[in-house]
Amino acid sequence: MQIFKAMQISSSGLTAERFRLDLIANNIANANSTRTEEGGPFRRRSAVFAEKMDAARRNGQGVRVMSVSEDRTPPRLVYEPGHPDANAAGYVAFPNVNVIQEMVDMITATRAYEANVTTLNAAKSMFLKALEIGRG
Amino acid sequence: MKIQGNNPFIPLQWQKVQPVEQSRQTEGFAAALKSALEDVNKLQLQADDAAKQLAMGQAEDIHQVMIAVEQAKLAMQLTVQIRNKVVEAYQEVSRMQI
Repeated sequence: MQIFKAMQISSSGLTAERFRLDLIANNIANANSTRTEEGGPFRRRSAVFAEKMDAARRNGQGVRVMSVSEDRTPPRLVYEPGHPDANAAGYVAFPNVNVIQEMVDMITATRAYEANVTTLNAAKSMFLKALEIGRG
Repeated sequence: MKIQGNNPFIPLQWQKVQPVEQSRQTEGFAAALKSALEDVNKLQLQADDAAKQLAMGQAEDIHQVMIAVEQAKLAMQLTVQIRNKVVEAYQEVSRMQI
């Protein structure tokens, strides 16, 4: 329905931010994973968002997750000769996840989610105000 | 200083207004009301489905369930308002002295 357009747009924003939080949770959970299916340590993932466009009207239709990109920065090398994944020199390649950065991203995602909820509530109260036209 | 942006004294024109004449000929108020009611009913069913999926643990997102429920609620309120107006109009006619 056309009247719920703003709500649908906000809904796409909520879905996108929730997906971003999923990725952040995965990054933090795997902050010490030295093995992955592709081999080598875990690599930090982040989401790339894109605007969903509507050609007919000149407004967008919200946001969508374009792709998930892997952080290509080199892994963190820690000297730990007793570790099973240590190389010949005794260094272990740990994931390139910076937990502090992930925490900051997490706050950003949470706040962006809240902003979308606020937009949604604004759309709802506008709708309810419209229903008051002609009353009283 | 040059001020850019929209001139507030020129009304915004973003899309062509759809011609109403065509629809006016083909469908009456009853048909329009019927299709609106069907839309509202569809929203209610969607909200019902979403709540059911949430209860079964299959819902993808909680916010989608909440939005579906909220949309159904708003559409219902709109329907009630329309109904109030219709009843009001009917009572106005029935009170008419002949």
